Amino acid sequence: MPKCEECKNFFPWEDNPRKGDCVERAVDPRQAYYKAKPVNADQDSADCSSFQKK
Amino acid sequence: MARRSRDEYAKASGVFGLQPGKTSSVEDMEKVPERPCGLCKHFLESAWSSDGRGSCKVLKEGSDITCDPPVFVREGKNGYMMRILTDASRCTYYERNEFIDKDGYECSDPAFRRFIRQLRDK
Amino acid sequence: MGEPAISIVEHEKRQEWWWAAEKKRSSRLDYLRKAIWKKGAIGGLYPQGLYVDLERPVLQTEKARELESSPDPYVIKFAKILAHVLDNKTIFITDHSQLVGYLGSLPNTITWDPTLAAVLNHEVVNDPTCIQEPLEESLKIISEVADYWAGKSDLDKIMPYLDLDDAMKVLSGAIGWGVPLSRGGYSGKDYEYIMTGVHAFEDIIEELDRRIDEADEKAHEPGASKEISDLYDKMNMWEAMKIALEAGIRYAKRYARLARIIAENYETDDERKEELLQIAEVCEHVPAKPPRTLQESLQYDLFIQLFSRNEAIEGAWPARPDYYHGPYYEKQVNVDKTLTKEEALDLAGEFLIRAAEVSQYKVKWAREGLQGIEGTWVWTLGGVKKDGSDACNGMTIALLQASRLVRVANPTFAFRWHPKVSDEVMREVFECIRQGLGYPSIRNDPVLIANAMNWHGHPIEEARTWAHQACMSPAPCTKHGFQPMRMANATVNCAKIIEYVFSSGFDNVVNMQIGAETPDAATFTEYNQVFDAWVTQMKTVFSILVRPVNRARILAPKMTPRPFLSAISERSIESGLDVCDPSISRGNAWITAFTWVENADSLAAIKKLVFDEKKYTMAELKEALANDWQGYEEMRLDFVKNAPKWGNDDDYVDTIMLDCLHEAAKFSRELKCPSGNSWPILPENVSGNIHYANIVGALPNGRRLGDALYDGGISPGPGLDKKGPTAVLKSCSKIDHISDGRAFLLNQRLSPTQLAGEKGYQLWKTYMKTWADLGLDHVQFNCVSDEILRNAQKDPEKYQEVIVRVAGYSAHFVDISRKTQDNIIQRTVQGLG
Repeated sequence: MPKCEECKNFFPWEDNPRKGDCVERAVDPRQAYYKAKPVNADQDSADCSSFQKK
Repeated sequence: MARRSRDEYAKASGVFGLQPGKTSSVEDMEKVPERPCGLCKHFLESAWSSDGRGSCKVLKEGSDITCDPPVFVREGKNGYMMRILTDASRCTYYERNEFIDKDGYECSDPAFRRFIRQLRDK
Repeated sequence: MGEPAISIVEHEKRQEWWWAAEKKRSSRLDYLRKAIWKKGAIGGLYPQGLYVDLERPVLQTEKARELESSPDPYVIKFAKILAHVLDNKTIFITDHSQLVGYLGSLPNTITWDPTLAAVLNHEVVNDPTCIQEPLEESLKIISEVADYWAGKSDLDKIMPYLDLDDAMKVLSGAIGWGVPLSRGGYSGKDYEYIMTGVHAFEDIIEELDRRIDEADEKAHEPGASKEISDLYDKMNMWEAMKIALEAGIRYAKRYARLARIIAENYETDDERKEELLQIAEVCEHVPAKPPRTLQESLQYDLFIQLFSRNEAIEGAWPARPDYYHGPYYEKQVNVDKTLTKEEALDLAGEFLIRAAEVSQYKVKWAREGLQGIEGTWVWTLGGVKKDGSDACNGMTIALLQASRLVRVANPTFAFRWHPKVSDEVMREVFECIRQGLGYPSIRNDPVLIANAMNWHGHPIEEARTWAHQACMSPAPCTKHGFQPMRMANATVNCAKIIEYVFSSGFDNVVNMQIGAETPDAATFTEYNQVFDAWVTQMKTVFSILVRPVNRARILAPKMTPRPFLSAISERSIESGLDVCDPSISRGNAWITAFTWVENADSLAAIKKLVFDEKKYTMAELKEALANDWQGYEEMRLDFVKNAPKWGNDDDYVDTIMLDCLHEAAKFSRELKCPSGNSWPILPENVSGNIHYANIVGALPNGRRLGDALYDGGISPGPGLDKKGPTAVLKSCSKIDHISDGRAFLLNQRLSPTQLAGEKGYQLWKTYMKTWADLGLDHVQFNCVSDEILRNAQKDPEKYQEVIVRVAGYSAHFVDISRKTQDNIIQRTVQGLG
């Protein structure tokens, strides 16, 4: 079972490595951007379509 | 003037804030009766009616078309309050309206539009 | 094959200002401008492609559930919910941007706050255009959230404490719009405290800590008193403020971190890497500390606006951006030379774009009343400083120039004109008008400063700090002068006043007795009886709408507190009281008078045709109106064509207008807000004239149910001002703009051809001199030809960027309903000179 912390797009927090930012590139019909959302390091990412092994 | 009870007010005004009337499940919210009040000629949208509220141009306060047998009050001042998706199958005054504006991108016209998602294809 | 390239000059000659702007602006602004997802509703519905953001309501609901059994008082729970959203929402940084922050999780989302009102939540359930697929999945979330907040939302909590008779009439939607909530309306800000570079979040937190410690010590000394008892509430309030500010700092640091991650891991372009690292530095510094540069100042302001909208639906954006950001512009551009004018222009343009994107899900009446935009972001430019000297600066010019480059319809500007404004600035203002933006509207600063002192007793130094609290109403930006919430339901659909004269207060459209039960109009034998009934109806309707606002202001501190807004307000930090507490506010209330002029025109028609000429009886007129003029067409035309109309310098009708205003002004002094100040009226419309078209019945000015109402304020009816622009100004100048009301909106259409070149500027300047000499407080212009507007109706795709002035705001022409479009085209084009 892959976990978020094993993903290339996971950036652990310095003050609490059990959490981190999941950063993704997104492109919609009008603009391109990077987005981030806090996730737990041990979160199951089996169903995550953006998962990329480090 | 005697002060009316809160329940009376809530019924007469359709102030749903006073009767939190919960939206219990997706299924309930999506139930569109065969004859919803919102498609009747006599339904009158209030400015707030995209939350589902309106009043009847024919029936007056005190009516209840949801009970069996229904109660029809024709005399009085204030209109009977109900919702767009109230089941009017028991209402003998029901007359289906023909709609002009169907896409909803005009401003509301109480006489010609009932634009809520559940009635999109009606 | 594409069409041959057209030069900027050629575009400008053809008045295709939007194409010219596209070619003139920097590549960054061009990208960011095209990246905007327009959020304004078209007619009553949000455009396709936008989605109700479900992330925030889910975060709010999960935190509220978690806190249900916590011992925290409500205000602290509320602050913790705010913090939870800021800590956990998705954030994003758009390519090429230098300023960051958005309310929603993604650029095409509209935020929904389920804590405000069950009626709003039901609207989301019923929304036909912006629930994201898969529908069933989204509906499940929406219904769970709506279910949780039913009975717990602000309006549900407040409503039982209002007078139920008033509440029922307010919620009919017939006589007013809006609800009496401290978290839904127009929030002024204490900019003199928070935007002058002295205080930022860390300083305030330090101050709050000190106050909490002192209070805690005092509260536990031997003794007992009401003062000690009050300290417990104050400590809770201070703690809630602190939670909100700390969350704000953390939120900014999330952006700093994201910018750094992108720069260090993804970005390959060196220049962009530098920009991202700059964003990181900015967001690490503000809002924690006072800004040092223009970029930091704009970012700081943007964060404050977003946080405030995180705790409330703010339908307006009171601001004075040139005044508060100007010192940073001056320092960097003119003194230190660390920023070029072009770079500053990019920042100013992006600031407008960031504001244009902000969106919050609103109920249908708000969407219809503000078609094409998200709210009335009317930013105030120009004016004077506290000492009375000219406040215009480099930032004034940068913002005016930037607005012509990015051409957003929202925010718009209102320019505080005064005799010391330089010609250079006036030319910039004129250029925006000539280029068809519909803004700035022009405000007469000396008149409005005197007006603020007259109506609300603001001291002159405070009155001079005023910014628009919404479209039109001035409010100081000072400790006791600013108004934290203007609850929108004191907005009167005034055409109902004359309508109710004929129905003895019964509303035939919404089937309800709303107005006073005045005597049967059919029995009136003298004009004075009509006018007396009008005065009674006016007083009744005004009172019905004002009373719930007063009540909600009193209930707000306990039931619907604003910890963040309190935390950036000196008076709350000092007192430990919620910002809406009337005891710490001077009061700056006003009644927005929509659809006002119909009253004067109707009364004039009655006086002339029924009582002077005796062509008809009151009974006949009552009957004709009850039948919506059907079967009375000849009579109707008589009332349209043969009765005097406002705006033609005709004393017959102008005197009636003054009679109505004087009665309203007199009554305004009797109506008191909870701070003890008065409730002056302010005639204006947004697109309420279209929204109310189907709610106002037939009127004696010849209008039928469904016909558009006049476009507002003191503007004459479209096409009814037949004697030219000076006659309009003269009619309007008979009103005392200091003592007859708080402000008076005047729409004028000018011919773009006539405004061309230097001659056009001189003509406009002469017109403006007349306007100022006559003492009017407001005027705004539409300057787009009929030809362009009609072409835009035929071929909207080609004219996506045409902007028009609707009433208190501007909108892209293609984003407003057909009825509103037609109403704008109908307005008389005034020839100058």
